[in-house]
Amino acid sequence: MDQTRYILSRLGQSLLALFCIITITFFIARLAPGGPFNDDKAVPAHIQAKMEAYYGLDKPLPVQYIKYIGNLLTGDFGSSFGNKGFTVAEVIAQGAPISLAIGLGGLLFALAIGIPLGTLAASRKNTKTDYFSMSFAMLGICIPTFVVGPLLAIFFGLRLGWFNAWGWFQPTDWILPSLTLGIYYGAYIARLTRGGMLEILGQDYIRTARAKGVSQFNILFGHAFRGGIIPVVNFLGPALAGLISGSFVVETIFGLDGLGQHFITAATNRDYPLILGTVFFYAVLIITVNFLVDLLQVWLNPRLRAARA
Amino acid sequence: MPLLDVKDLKVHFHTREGIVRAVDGVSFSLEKGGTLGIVGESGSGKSVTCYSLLGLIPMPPGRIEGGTAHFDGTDLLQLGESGLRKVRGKRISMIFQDPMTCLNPFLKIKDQLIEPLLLHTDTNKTDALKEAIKALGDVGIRDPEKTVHAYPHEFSGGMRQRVMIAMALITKPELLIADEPTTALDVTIQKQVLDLIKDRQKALGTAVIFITHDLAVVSEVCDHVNVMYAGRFVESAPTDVLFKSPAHAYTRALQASIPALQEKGKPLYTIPGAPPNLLALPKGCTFAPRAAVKDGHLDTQPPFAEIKPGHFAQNCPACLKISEPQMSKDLIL
Repeated sequence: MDQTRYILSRLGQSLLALFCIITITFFIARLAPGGPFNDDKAVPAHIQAKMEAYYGLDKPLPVQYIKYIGNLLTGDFGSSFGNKGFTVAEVIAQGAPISLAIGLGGLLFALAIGIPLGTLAASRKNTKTDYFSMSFAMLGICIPTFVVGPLLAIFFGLRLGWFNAWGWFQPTDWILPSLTLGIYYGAYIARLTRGGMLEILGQDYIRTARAKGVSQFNILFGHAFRGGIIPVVNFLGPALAGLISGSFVVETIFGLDGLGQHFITAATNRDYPLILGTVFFYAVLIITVNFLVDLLQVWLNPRLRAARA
Repeated sequence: MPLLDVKDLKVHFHTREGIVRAVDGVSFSLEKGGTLGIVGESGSGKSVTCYSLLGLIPMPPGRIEGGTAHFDGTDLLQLGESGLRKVRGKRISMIFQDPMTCLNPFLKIKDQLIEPLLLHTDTNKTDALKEAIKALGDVGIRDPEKTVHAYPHEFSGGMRQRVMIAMALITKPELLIADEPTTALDVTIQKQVLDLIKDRQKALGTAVIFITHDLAVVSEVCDHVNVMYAGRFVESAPTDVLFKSPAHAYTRALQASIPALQEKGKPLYTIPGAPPNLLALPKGCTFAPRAAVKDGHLDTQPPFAEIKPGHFAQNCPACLKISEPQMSKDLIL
């Protein structure tokens, strides 16, 4: 019962947040100088007026806003200005799978790199293993993706020939872009894991476990892991948002026609319906992920469960 | 043969500031089923003494510099990590000061309770759970069939200390080390927990080492007391002897600090000064700077000598001179 009520209230909050995001984005996009038909070449005034009338941009802003929200409620995102002949829904449907694939792949690599590395560093605090792991993590954070990406493409793509260095043709093409993203986020997760595990390993109840004769391995994974991983779980929401929406650079490096590309070009071209459509898509995604992260936290931490009941 | 026989134990911490001689030549022994108290202020080395026996001090920076600790014939200090792991929680158990932080908040009581059984005996999970429920009942927790499935945060401090005791004794160890088990508890609960430990000790025949700074606790439960100061024992005697005729100035000062024994309406007596810096111990008698009698302290390490049959003390003439410290005006703050 409590659970249902909690989920319903979270759903209501999410819808409200979504509405605010759409409204703010709508007006900010319009307040930005320039318009969709301001090109390098000057467009004759009467043609521009005709195009604006065609897309309904000549009406007062509040009228346009109400019409947009009305369409949105029926599931109509409108047509893209920049991608002629495509609706916004079609552009998202085409780009989202690519972005989701490399984003989730990136998260997979990030966790696979970060958690073992951080746990190892914490269990061997202030030893060479620790310093080596954390130096590696620091490198991963400091080297930007536009350096790591091309290096991976050169080494694994061109030198070894294991993967395509560019494009979206084979089922394995997600690996290099995901790895590029995963190294950066994995480095960050390694530091979070180390910090979280060290905090827990210094607790009195770890000493209790040692006094009971528990082995180092079981102390790490049986006693410390659930608590030590909490900072990483908290970071999952923002991380996934960054991985999926912030993949513009990686999509560019690897020549992928993903949503990140469309997001940026829509903004620079003042493609209002596409801006709103991509923002809507990302907002739904991030709200969903944050909700899942909250559930995960409660599942991990019994004290939170008690606080809610 | 005593159950535990510690001889000349030395534990030093090698820090950047220098060598901390936390435990510097301590000897004691404990018979099967006996109760020993180790008393001293914070930082006197009483916890490190016991932790080092089980390899529970961080190494590095800690290092056992010397001595032996024979437990039922085997030297604990020579066992190594894997050997000690078989002793910890099986033959020697520990309970700690703060029950609020000593149970893992992420794990159910039952998982923590049955862990020693699963680690050290052939018991399967079902039987272990049955034993856990019985153990909870034995330490006076109501409705153990239900509470065993709870998490630690659903318990009060006193209840958690009961759970800790149940957990420590579930394997019927030969020795229980209780590190300030009542310090973090309410006075009313303290008595209950002490009674519980005594009660379980009688039922299981376990020997107990009480680490405490509270002489009242010692007088209630221990057969024999060691008073520790700056990493060494300054006095060692059967409990009644120590209380009736304390020999060392530090023991007398500790006794004078018990609030219940002081006159009402007067400021409480406290020992002047602070325990010495273990990095830079005074040469000779380490209690000299805080003692009421200022003159006549040894400037070499005073020997630990038998001053009466069965009554040992650090033999510094000034410290052993009876001066009624609680009467001395300059000591009353």
